[in-house]
Amino acid sequence: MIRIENLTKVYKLSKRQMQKQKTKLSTKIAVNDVSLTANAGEIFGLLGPNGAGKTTTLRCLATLLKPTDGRITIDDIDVVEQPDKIREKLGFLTGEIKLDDQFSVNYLVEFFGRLHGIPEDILKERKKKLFDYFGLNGFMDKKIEELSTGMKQKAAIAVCLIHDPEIVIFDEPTSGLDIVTARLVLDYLKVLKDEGKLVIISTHIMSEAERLCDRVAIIIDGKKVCDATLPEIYSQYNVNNLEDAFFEMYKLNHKEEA
Amino acid sequence: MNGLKTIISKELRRVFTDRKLIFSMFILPAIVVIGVMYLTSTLMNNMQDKVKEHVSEIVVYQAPEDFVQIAEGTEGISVKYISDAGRLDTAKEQIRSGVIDYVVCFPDGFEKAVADKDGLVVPEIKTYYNPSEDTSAQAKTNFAPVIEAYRSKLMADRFGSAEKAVIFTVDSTNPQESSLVDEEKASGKAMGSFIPYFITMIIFAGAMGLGVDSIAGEKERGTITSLLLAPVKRVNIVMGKIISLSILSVLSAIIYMGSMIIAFPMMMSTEGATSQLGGLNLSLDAVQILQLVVVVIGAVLLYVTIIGIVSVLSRTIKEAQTYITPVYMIIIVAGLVTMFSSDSNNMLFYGIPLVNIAASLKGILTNDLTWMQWLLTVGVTYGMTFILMAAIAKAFKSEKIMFNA
Repeated sequence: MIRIENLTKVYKLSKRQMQKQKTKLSTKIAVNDVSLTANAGEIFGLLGPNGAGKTTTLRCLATLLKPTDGRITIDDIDVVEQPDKIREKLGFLTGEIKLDDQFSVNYLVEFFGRLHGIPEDILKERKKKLFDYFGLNGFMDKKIEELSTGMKQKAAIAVCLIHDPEIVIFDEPTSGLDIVTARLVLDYLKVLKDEGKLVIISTHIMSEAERLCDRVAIIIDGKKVCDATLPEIYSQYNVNNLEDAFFEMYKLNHKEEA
Repeated sequence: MNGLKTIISKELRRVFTDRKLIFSMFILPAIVVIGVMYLTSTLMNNMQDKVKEHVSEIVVYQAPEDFVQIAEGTEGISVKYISDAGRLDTAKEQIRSGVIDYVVCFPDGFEKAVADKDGLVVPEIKTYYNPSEDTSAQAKTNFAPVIEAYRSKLMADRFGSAEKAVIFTVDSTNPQESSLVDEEKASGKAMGSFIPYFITMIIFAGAMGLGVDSIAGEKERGTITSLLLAPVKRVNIVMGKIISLSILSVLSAIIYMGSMIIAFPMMMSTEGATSQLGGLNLSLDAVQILQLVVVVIGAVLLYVTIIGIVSVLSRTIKEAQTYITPVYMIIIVAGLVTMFSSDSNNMLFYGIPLVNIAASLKGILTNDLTWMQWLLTVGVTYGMTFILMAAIAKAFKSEKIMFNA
């Protein structure tokens, strides 16, 4: 179970960054006092427009960034105090995670498996399962640089899941994928949920979230403006789809910078 | 140590499965080193042969008759005798332009002055040559014995016999025995002055390209993130990269040194090289070898760690390369300092990082190094390495450095 309590992440801006972002403030608040919980066996959606703070929140969760304020625990283990233990439980996939171009899919999956300390026989078994599901068998000895975007993403997923993590975090899971591969990935997330895992996805594609998520939290300008199940959201905003609900929230909460 | 072996294996595999990289790191250097040395020695030999074969063009002004007789007997020179002052000026011009090699001027009244047994007037022979022309310098050397032979003849004329004039000689029968040198120490000195400099250069150069790519490159390409998400201690990731880089740098250095050793005989056949490099009379005992190995391993680790810290603080490969270059210069200067210093007993040298490595290598090769000096060098070098490695590990934990956050 994930518990995020009053997470705040503030960046200091250098003079040049202030000029670039056309702001007079010397700090940027990427995430502002966000709290939420998520449990095993559900798919939790973190939604919001670009720059809202979703990725930052997830990176704090994944131990890549340190919170400026607040606390994050996974199964009561603090992510800042024991990052190694957290990394054993997590699988984190974002578009910016790239795989080494000159190694083969097979090698990389085994490499990360070994880093996680997985015994060789279990490693082979899991590898087979993942390669079978994602159709990687024909490509496993190809170098990453030789693969198409879709195949690269599937390889990245295999690498991310080889250690069978309890919690899977996917940031923009279908970004850059064709319709067939996108469906494949989303279906797999459902499989993971059925296996009892906690899946967190972040996306700005509302239809995707609608199809998958049990609960969603919506982040606008670093603040959480909503945290509920889909039916609760529809009735609160008097709409029948997430996109319309989102725009209602956006109108209420978004301030253009002066 | 979890993950360390896995990471080292991957880093080594990265190089050894890349054919282009293997070629440019291990095969091309050998070809270039051997090729360049071969070319240089051939060109130098050609040039020296040319100078040797050249017949010196010499002009002598107002030469006495007996001088002409002595000069005529000498080979490898072509002498023109003039007595016109105008032609003397022309000859000097021709020296400047390189047409003739050497001009010797006997002053007016020379024969009268040397014939005087009391030697009241000491005439001066003036000579002219062009130091920037090799053939001119060679001509001066070739003609000197002729002038000295003439001097001997005149002395014999004045004193009645040559021995009476000479009075005593210096080292005329024992030129070989006069040289009391410990062959090994001499060779060691020669090698000791340029080998440390050379080793440091090669090791650093070999590590530069790979090191920058291994850390700054992975940051730039985004592949470092997956490593940071694995449950491996940051310091193990750093150690894995440093160790594999060290192995590769040493391999690269061995290839360079190996190709130099192969090409060495070629260089030795060049005149001038022999005197500088001496016969390679170098044998190291077990203790020296141990000392050498420990210092060299320390040097490799330190250089690689320095490259590592520069790389991790850079945002891109290009940035890392820009910052590494001045560091490279510092390392070369540190090596040069030992090459030109003869003060090998100053303990200060052995306490300064980088300089102490070169000083110790030199000391080992000349069998001059004390245990205190060696210990100090090893302590400072390995100590600095550990400090820097810890710094890199800390940097790996910093989100600002790793993700430009």
